[in-house]
This record gives sequence, C-alpha cells and structure tokens, in this order.
Amino acid sequence: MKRRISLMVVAAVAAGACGGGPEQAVEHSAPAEALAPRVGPERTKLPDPKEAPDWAPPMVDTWRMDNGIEVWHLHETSAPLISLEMVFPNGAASDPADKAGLTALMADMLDEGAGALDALPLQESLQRLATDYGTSAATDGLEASMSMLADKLDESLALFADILRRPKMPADEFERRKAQHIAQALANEANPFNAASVVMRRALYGEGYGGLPSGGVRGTLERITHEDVLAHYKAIVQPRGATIVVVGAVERAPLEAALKKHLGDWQGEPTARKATPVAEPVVRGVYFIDFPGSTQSSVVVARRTAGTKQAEYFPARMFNWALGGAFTSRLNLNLREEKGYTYGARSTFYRWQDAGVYALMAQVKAETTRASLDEMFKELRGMAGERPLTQQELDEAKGGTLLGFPGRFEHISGVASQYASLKLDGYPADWLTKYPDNIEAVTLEQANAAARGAAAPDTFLVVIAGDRAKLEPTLAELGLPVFVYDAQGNALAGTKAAK
Amino acid sequence: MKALVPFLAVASMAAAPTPPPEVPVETHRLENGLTVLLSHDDRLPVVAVEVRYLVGSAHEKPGKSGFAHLFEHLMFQGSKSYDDEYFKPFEPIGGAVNGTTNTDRTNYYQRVPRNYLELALWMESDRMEGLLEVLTVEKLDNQRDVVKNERRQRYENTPYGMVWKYLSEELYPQGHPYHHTTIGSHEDLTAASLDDVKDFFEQYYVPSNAVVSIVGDFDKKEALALVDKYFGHLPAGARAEMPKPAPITKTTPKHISETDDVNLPRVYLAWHTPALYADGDAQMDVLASVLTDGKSSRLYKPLVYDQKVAKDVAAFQASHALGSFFVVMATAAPGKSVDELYTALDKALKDALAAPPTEDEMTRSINGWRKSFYERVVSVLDRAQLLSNYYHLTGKADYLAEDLKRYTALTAQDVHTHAKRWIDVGSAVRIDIVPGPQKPVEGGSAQEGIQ
Repeated sequence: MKRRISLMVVAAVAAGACGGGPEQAVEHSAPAEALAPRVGPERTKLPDPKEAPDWAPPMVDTWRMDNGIEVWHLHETSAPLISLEMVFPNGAASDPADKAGLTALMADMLDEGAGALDALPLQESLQRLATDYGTSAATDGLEASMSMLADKLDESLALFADILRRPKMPADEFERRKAQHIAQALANEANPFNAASVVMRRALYGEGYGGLPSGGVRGTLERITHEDVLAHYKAIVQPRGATIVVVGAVERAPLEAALKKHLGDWQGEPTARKATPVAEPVVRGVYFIDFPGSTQSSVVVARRTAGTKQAEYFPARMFNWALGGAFTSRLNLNLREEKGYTYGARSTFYRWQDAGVYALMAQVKAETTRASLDEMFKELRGMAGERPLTQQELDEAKGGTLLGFPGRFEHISGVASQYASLKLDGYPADWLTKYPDNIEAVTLEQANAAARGAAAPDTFLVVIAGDRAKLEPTLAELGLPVFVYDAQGNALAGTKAAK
Repeated sequence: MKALVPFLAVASMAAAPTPPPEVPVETHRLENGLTVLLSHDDRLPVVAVEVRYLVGSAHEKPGKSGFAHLFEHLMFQGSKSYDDEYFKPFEPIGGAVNGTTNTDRTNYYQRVPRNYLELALWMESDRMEGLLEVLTVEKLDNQRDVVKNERRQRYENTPYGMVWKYLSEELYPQGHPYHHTTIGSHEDLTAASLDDVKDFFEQYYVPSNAVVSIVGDFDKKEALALVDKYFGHLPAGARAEMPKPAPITKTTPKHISETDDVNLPRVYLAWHTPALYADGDAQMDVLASVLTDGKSSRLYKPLVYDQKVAKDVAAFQASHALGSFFVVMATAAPGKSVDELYTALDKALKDALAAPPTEDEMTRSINGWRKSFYERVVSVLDRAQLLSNYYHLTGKADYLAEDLKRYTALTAQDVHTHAKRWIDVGSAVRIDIVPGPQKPVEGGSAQEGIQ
C-alpha cells in the first residue's frame, strides 16, 4: 500500500540560515536593521516535484450477516472515533409523487422515541455519549448514520438498534415533525438558488423518478398521513439488502460481535418500489421563478443524462473538469475571472442510479443574466465541438482527480460517506480502488465523444430565479418559450406546463 | 508518527476515558520575523501550507470597509514570477486551495501531495514578495465585481443574510473596528484604489506580520530550509498591532426591525461577551449548548417542542479577538407573528437563565465539546489553521490541551455566573427580520455597470 520515500535535504540554502530550534518567546520580532540584505531565490520556473508517493485507497473488509446485512469495514486509527452509516436500498424515489418527502419525514420520525425511551430522553442519552445521529433520504437509498467515540460503540449501537428496530413513531410526534418539515419547505421557497434547483428537476423529470426534491415541497408534505409513515417504515427499514459501513478505531472481531449483539436477530425484507423515469421528452424552454427586486439571478442550464452506470461516466468526468468542474475551468475563468458577472460558475453531473442531470449554474448580477446565459451556451458549443477538450486539459483533469485522491481520505466520516455513496450509486465495494485506473484509461477521443453528446447545446433547458419584470424582455431572442413556475416547482396558471 | 492519537482498545468494557488529542508542534522564527509552525503527521501523503497575515477587517480605515477581503482576492491574481491565476499550478495536482478573511486575520492555504511542498512555498512567497509588480487596475476592477457578487450571493440574496450587517452596526459603535462587516459596502468597494492596495500590501504583507504553518507528511529540516530559501530574504516589516478599542462591558439595548425576502419572521437577540480564549468565552459556548442543543434543551423544548411558536431556535457564541457576542435566534412557526415569537422567547430565556445548568446538562454539553476536539484536528488543513490561530491569539501554538481544559474544567456555577454577568435578557440588541420587500442596497444598483 504505502511505501516510504526518503526525502533529500535541499542543498544550496542561501546564507542566513533557518530559524533554529523551537522558540518560546514569540511576542517580539527580529530587528530588521540587523539583517544583511539577501538575494532571493532564482525564479525562472516553478519547482519540479519530488518523487511521487505511492498510495492506493484502502480496501474495505466485507462480510454478510446471517440476516442479509452486508458490512463494509475499514480499520482506521488516526483518531479514537468511529463513523457508521447504514444504507437501506430504497429512498426518496420510492415516495409517491403526490407525497414527495415521505421517506425523509419517516426517517426523521425514527428517533422520536424508541425502545424504552421517549423522544427527549432518547436524545439526552445520545448526548451523554457524545454520539451524533442523523438520517438522510437520498434518491436511491436511505442513510442512517452515527459518529461516536470509539469506546462508546456498544452503548451507541444499542440506541441505534432501538431507533431502527423499535421506533415508537407516535401520532403527536408525527404531527410535530410534519409541521416542522412543512415550515422548513416554506422557508426554503424564499431562497432563489433552492427554488431554481427544485424547478430544474421538475422541468427535466416531471413527477417521475428524480423529478421531486427528496425533502418534498409544502404541497406534497401536507398530504402525508401518520399511516403513510408507519407503512413506509415497514417497506424500507429492513435488514435484508441493507449495508453498514463502519470506518474508524475498531477492529473486525469486536465490531462483528457488537453488530451481531444488537442487529443479529433482526429479520425482514423491504417491499418498497422505485418510481420509473418519465418517458416523455423534455420541453425545452426558459423556466422562470419570479423574485421581484432581486439583485442577483440564479441561472441554471440543464439537461437529462443517464444514471450512475453509464459507460461514459469517466470520460464525462474528464471533460467536465475543464468545462466547469474546477476553479480554472473555462466557465469560471470566463464568467468570474474575465467578466466579473459572478462569484463563481460551475458545472456538475448529478447522477442517480436510473437517471441524472448535467447542469451549469451560477448566481450572477441581475443585469448580466442574459450575457451569462449566452456565455454558458458559448462554452457548451465550444466543448461540444467548436473548441474541443485539449490533451493538456485532459492531462490536468486526470492529474487533479488522481493526485488529489488521498486528500479525500482524511476524515473518517468523509471516508464512511464515500463508501456509503457507492452503495447509493449501485457500485461494488472495490469501486474506489479501481477508480484511479479507470480515470487513467480515459482517452482524449473518449472524452470528446462524451462531450459531443452530453454538452450538445440544443439539449439544454434554462432555469432562472430572478426579477421577472426586469429580465423577461432580455430573453426574447433566445427563441425558447417562457414558462413561469412557483418555488415549489408548480407551473403557474396561464403558462404552459412542461410534462 | 503513524497515528495522531494512540489507538484505544475498543468495545464497551473500556472504562478509561479516551485520552485527549495530541498535536505536536514546533514554533520557529526566521531572522526577518516570519513565524513558522511545523506539525508532522504521515498518515496520508499530503501536506498543508497555511500563510496567515495578522490583518483583518478590524484594521480597515474609515471608508475602506471590505478592503482586507478584496485584497485577499487580489492575492490570487498573479505575482511577479507567476503572473497568472494562483489556482493554475495547483488544480492539476489535486491541490485544495483557498483564502479567507475575518475581522482579525487573513489566511491563504493549500493542501498538496507531499512531493509538491516546494511548489506551495514558491507560490506563497512569490505573492508575499511581488504582488504589486504585476497588479493592474483591470485585475482590481474585475475582483471588485467578483466581491460585489459575493456580497449579493451571500448577504443580499440569501434569506436573512443582511442581518450580520445590522448586528455589527447595532452592537458596535461608530468607529469601533467591528462596526462594519468583513464583506464591506458597495460604496467602499467601489472607492478602493490601486494606492490603497499598495499601502495595505506594504504595511501588512510582510514576514513579521505573517505565520507559515506546515502540517502533514514532510521532513522538518527540509521544510525549514525551504521556508528560509523562499521567504528568508524578504524585508522584515513590522507586526501589525491589533486595534485597541475601548472594551465594551455592557450591552446597550436596541431594537430594530427590517424587511427581507423571507417567508417566516425571525428574531435575533445579541449581547457583548468575552473575547475568544478569554475567561467567559468557553462558558458562553457551554451556555449555548444548554440553551439550544437538542430537543430537551432549555429553549428548544418550550419554544419548538411544547408551544410550537418557533420553527427553530439556535444560540451561539460568535468569538472574536477583540470581543465576542452571544446570539439567540428564533424563527417563527408558520402563522405566528414576530410579537408572539418574541414574547415566548423572552419568557423562555428568562426561565432558562434563572438556574445554573444541571449536572446532566453539563455532562451532555461538555462531552460534545470534548469530542469536537478530536474532529477538529483530523484534517491537515484544519490543523494548520487551528495551530496558527492559537499562536496568533494566545502566543502558544501548542495551546490545544489548554483549550480543551477550558471546557472540561468548567462547573455549572462558572457557566451560571457568566450567563448572569453577560446575558441580561431585557437589554439585548434585538433585530427582527420580517417578510417584505428588501431594503434597496446602496450602491448595489444597475448603474454601476460591468466592464
């Protein structure tokens, strides 16, 4: 895995020498006049790197419990902490379209009293252990996670088992949490960037797979009943097919024993079913959410893509690095560093298992909305053919992805969530181990072929959250119909709704 | 050293408490006054370099609000031997690069593969030495626009985002270094000139006023030699003094109400409290947990859980070098007015502060704070910034154990004494944010134009 490289001591240090041993009194500065003038180093070119470290991502140890729970374990002792994530293989994509947010609300109910404890004492118990607990409803799965001190594994797992296996989910707590989720959804509607994201998904995927935010919107949350939550719990929170990722200061034997003790006799199979992606084509247009008086516009240019398992996953990553995936990408250098329209512009693939989105986005000064949009399309045209990815850009994308890889393994919680994401994306446990070779293998032809497909400008629609009265006249010559939506993702009366 | 903290035998039986985190650090000083902090850890083949300049928005002159931060942006626009985007050599090697400015300091950092340590020092020293030679008015104008967009994105166009400006202005009197925000005003940003940049650079961006922290997988002797090679010849300059405003020991009650593009009203209450690392600062951190961490906490339970008058409530100590402030904020539940919210908050807060924390509340809060110390030293970038912060504000880069002790040694009575000393419910600075059209932003209108 890891090989020590002896570093050579740099020769030729200019006279003056370094600061010597550790210094205690640090309040004063050395007197400047005591220094003989020194000449700085030669700076004809950037320094060459030393020999590259040989590093490979760690491979998890995997096993299956008798009840069908898969365990992915990484023993990591840099801190006396353990991060644990349990992934259930159904998530927000199993919510009925008219009750979007059901999985998230159900998950949020799990710790409202469990086992022998009511909601408040349960949370106090977690706090005494300094164990953080939380859930996250993703499109393709539900995650329940804990982060704890290593010596609190047994007590934490006891509470984790109560929460997942013996939740009380009483009616009064349901009403309380439901009202909270509705209030949060209402608060989110005031955020233009959030509204643009909601409308983007709705415009691309309607009410099918991927079309609704996993937290739901007010209209869908209001329809959820206590019975819905109880039934959805049974349909999703089951051991068979679930995976537990554990990263941290615990060895396999005590971990295996602890998991068996608390979760070993849990039986059951999930019955939830996912929505399918809509079949109808996308209606291209400008989807507008009105924020009167806004000094900035959230501008999104987006299209559908395939899901996580598409063949051009790695080539697409490479061209996107150069288009809008890095600070020095074409998009950010143009919109921010050259034009000053925005604090930052980027492009990203959001991929779920069965569908995905490719989006360019920026929050731009209101007066530059149209100009920003034109530049986004210009950069798409460039990458899709007029100015294809260069070998140098590809090399930089590979270097940036591969040489930055070890940095993704610093925090154990970050490592645990990367492995949990593999499960959500439907990838095997060795996916990260093979990742460097897959990146390395991408050719310029493959990356440009992926760009010609995914960056083709006439496949993108536009979402703008901003001051409609001020902006709509500037959008006329775009040749795209304008649809007006509310911040919940509903088409407003009088404008044509996309399917 | 392989592991930062010795591995502790796991599984329940272990009764011994987890030992505190240890971060070995050496403090060095070059002859030109440059401070160098070194902390070695070879868990991963990465190294972090942070360069901290001991200047922040508190040092800005009247009419120059936002300048320290605008200047930070200019440091990424090229320097005499590398006149191009600062990010360019780092992104193809997977470097994590950024800079931040707050009231008290400005920092620049990069995490790079360990074999690129010299590149990081080359780049940092080149901009410390030669920013001005290649600075142009075009670069200044461009970053002025970028920063104004940052202001729009993070303050004007984010729900409740303008409250930080209102809080600074209401808490601190005119002329106090914290009276204005770090992001500054459009008007002052517009007024920033190349001469301002030159003066600021020459006064503050000098070795005596800087701290270089190197954390991660590197050879100490080699790193020190490289720091000396690239920084050792620079003229020393002088350490900038922290401004010395008259200490504020009592909060003057105020109440303002502002509209914003929000759907739910929110009330902010704020009081002056002891500075970062001063006696009373950790007490306020623990008080904040007792008030709003978890459903059983003293404000969440009555306001959100029982009465359902609030959608959320949060308390925190905003710690700064020249003095801190304590904030309690609550958002109204749908259908509740700002007055209903305030009335309930006022009563709940008075009840909450009437008695010291219970032993159980102390245990719950302090266990959480103790655990957070392990988490904040895991990443090499976090650690570099933590060590230089310790050095800057306490004079001791190895302050970690003492910092932890600020929390673990606290008693319920300590917390109660300081809560009574600083938090007089009736004399808060109170800011209401209510739904309505946002106040037009001065100087932020269409007329400025883009290049």
